[in-house]
Amino acid sequence: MGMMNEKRTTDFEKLKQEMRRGVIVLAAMSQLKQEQYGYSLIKNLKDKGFDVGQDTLYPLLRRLEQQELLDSEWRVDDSRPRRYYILNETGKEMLRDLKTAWREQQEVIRSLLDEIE
Amino acid sequence: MKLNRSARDLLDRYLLGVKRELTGKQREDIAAEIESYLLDLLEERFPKMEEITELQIKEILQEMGAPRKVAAQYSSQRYLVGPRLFPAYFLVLKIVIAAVIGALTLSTIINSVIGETINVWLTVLEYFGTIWSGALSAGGSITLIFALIERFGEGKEIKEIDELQEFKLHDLPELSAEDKEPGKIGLSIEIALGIIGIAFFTYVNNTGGFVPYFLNPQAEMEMVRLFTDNFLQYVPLILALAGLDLTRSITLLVQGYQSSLTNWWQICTQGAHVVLMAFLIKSLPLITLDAFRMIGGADVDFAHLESLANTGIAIGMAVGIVGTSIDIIRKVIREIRNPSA
Repeated sequence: MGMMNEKRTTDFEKLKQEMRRGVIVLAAMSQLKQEQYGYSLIKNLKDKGFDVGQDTLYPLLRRLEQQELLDSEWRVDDSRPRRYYILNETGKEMLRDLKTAWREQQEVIRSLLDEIE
Repeated sequence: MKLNRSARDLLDRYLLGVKRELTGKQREDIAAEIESYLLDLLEERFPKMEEITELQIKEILQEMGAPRKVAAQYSSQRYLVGPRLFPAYFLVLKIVIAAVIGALTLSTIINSVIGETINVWLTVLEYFGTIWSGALSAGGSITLIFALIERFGEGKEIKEIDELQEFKLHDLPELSAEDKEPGKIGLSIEIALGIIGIAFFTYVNNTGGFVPYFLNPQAEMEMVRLFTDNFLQYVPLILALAGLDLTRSITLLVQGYQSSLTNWWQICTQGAHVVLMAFLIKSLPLITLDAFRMIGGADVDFAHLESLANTGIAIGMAVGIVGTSIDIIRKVIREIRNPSA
């Protein structure tokens, strides 16, 4: 019985992670209309209820920059260099499109879930 | 916030470890960003400390994990043969290995029929050794070629590979009788015949090729030699193959469907049957009618009859070799293109 519960919890965590993986991009981009450095972005997302680790976020920021959706620059702040990221115009447009797509998906999922209630 | 000397050294060693795991122009930049993150983390975790010591650095580095793991997050996943090429790689691998095994089997059969066979078991062992090394080197070469395509063809369109993976409706498997449930009656007959065969050849092996002969129903049973020593040397192999066939039939009867395992099992035993038949042809005569000649009585030319019987067996087995080989090729192609579950 205990093992069954343990397996169920593990499976649930795996599926939840899988579900979240797709929306991390949207969550990160949504906070980058204002300039942020990596650590502040992690803190900001965490404070708003979206927990994301540095091992996921930093590589994601690099990918978004390679896709030319973000601009970044190193700046000395508090006597320490930090890399600041911000959405550029293409990034903002992409965020708008992603937001629309997300809302549509949300509606579809909502109606699908309503069917089973 | 300041780091003392040993803490700074430890952090620098960690960052060096990360850099060594990274390639490309961005490695310095990535390491600098990780350092920036770690310093932010230290500042938040130990806000009141004027000087950070090795102890605090150790704590956060342990949380971060090994430099290799951290660096791996920044590298794109590396494959020997990636998901794009894998279906084509696997198809080519199966075709080439099947072709190599087929060619080596054929060459072993031809060699054993034409050449001088010193020891059957040695030839069989040599055959399996050749197959193993042949399949391994063919598999290795194919893997190496695809690994090179993966490495240097990244992002490029490869027409031949794309064509190989293209979906064509006529490639869909045919629903043949073999896809259906194996017939229980047929399998039961196969099992019964298998048991009778094993019992008979075990008996022949124990009697040294002699079988009971009743010249006169009222007289005592006589034993006459029917099988030659040439034939008897193959009886253990015949028994082993009959055992494999029997086990396969029982497996099919129990599981109730054809699986990849039972199909390949059949292909392998059929291959072994072909080799065995080739050896048997080479070892003629397999049966002797000497004993009947000595018994006499009937006006029959036993020498001629013996030669006729052995020739008949040889022709039967030659036909068997051709038929079984064609069946093996057909089954191999079928199993490669549309593998069973």
